[in-house]
Amino acid sequence: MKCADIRAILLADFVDDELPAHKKAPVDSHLSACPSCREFLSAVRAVDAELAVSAVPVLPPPEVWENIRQQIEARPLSIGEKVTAWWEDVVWGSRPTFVYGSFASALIVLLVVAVPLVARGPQAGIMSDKEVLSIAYVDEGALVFSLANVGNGTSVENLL
Amino acid sequence: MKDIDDDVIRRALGHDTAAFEMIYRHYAGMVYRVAIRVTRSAEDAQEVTQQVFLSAHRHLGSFAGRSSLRTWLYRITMNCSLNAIKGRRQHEVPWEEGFDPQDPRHDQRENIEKESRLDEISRLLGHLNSDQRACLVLRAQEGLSYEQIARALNINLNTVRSRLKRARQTLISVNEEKRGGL
Ligand SMILES: [Zn+2]
Repeated sequence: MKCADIRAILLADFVDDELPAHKKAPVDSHLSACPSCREFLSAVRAVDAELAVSAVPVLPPPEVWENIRQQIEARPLSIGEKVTAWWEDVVWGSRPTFVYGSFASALIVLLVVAVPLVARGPQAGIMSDKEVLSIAYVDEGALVFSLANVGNGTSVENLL
Repeated sequence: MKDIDDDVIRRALGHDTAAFEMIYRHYAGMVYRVAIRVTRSAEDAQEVTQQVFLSAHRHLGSFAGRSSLRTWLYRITMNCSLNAIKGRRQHEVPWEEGFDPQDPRHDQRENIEKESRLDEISRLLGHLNSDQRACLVLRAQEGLSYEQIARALNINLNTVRSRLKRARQTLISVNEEKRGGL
């Protein structure tokens, strides 16, 4: 392999330990014979070393938690959260472990059944469209919360 | 870093503020230090940290163990941080345009930097575009695998690889210029 090909590997997979053993061997043998690629490798490692320094834990100032606490305590629960809180108390309260999979499916079923019935009530706590979009990007479990908005004018067919 | 106990997540789902505070104490440092590197501003990073935990609190139910809580928080953090940058982009000179001391916007950039009191690492990261910066921070600072980075940024593995290559190549050149200038 040419130096340029070796360097392309050094820049990512090699330094990140993402290279399978059979692909690593030829790079290692090139490195042992090529001082200039060895120098390039130390330059790559130097870049990462500079950034690793900043992994030292830094905490946000205390007022950040204070703001969060005030906002979560002041915010009325959404219907989805009320269902969740109720579900937590009634069903899982005494269970030693939290079975996510069955919990999620049960929550979807509950929301499908319960939300259209209750959603015509007060709108407090229901997400804005912007928030739904941002969460859909954030989490593949967005379906659960997209369903929570069914009563808010979106049809299930559109979401599925 | 160890993920927090399922029991704490379960209690937070049941609207126990003390349990949610435990989640905050466990992950706030990680969220903040990633946000500070990606946004390159302590002020934005505090705002992002607040958004991340408010969003996590509201949507904890949708997390439902599909990934680790840590991975999910990385994902929300990246989403909020990149949005914060987009939101202020009209006031910022993009670094990828290259640096021209004759450019009248040069002064503006200097002021922004002074205001946000950027340290040396932030300055270095400022040579990258936000997508490259996000990848490199998750890899070099946070030690995530390519698979985890791909999930946190919702991109494919080859994109992770090519952004890391371009990011490191750029920073190697910056370091070389710095050495040449001494
Ligand atoms: Zn070589």
